[in-house]
Amino acid sequence: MNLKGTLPLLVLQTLAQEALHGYAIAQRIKARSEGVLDFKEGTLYPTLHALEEGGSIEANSVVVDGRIRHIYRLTEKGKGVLEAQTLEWGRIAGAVNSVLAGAK
Amino acid sequence: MNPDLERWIDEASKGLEPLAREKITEQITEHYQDAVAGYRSSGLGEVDACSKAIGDLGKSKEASKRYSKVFFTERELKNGESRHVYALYFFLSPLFFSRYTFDTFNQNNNIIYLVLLLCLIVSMYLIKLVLKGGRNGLFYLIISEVLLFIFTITTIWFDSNLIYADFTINLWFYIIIMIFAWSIYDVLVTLTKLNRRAQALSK
Repeated sequence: MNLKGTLPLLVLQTLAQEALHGYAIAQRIKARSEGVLDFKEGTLYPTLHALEEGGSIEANSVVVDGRIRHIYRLTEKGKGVLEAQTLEWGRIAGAVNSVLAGAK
Repeated sequence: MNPDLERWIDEASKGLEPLAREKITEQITEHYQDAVAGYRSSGLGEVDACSKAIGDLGKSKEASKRYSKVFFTERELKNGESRHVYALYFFLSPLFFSRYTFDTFNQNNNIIYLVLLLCLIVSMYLIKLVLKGGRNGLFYLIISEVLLFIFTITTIWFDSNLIYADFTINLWFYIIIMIFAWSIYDVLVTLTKLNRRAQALSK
């Protein structure tokens, strides 16, 4: 399922638990949603870059097993953004559920 | 590098500025290596693992659209820099050809001479760097704007009466202020461009 526009929220929530590199973020989202929230992994990096530019996340380069890895972590600003977006998502989901419940 | 991966990266980063292309190559290659390792550890052969890792990236054109929203394209970068060079040129030229500047010189004020000379040398050097492009282009532009601002303020500070001396001086002063305001606006637009695009993408 491709939920357009929700990827930044999913990334922020994933990074709220621990700092991860790009591939791990993608795998974590897919695993947590049991494969329902599938997205093309090539679109993850523009989203990460946008979040980084906005100050919601920060990237650090570390050497792991001789390879340079880019680890992303949530910033203080990102925590606020996550909270606001989660509330907004809850509001929208609640509204959609209400409409669907009324249709039954 | 895997030719399919190379093609994917080329298409996804097509038209973007060199530093963006470099960053995308680095990130996608890292991701691809992780994905291949993941598939290999789950028992897939090398060829299948590579093929699935490429497939997981999705369409390169879709990624290209998204990348162009968060990174400068080569064309945008070139246009942005050119606009600044023109801005600097138009900003400087009235100063040097106006009576205001000549009158300022006639005062034999050594501090004005010194500030003018320093600003000129550094501005010319910065313009040269800006024309070359590169990762510090924006930084050089901001510095050059600050220098021009210092120059203007210094000259006006030493003889504010000159501004009101006659119609020609008033006209030039008006033009200078207008161009200066436009230059500042241009810098701000450039500075906020990526941020605005990032916000648009995350909505």
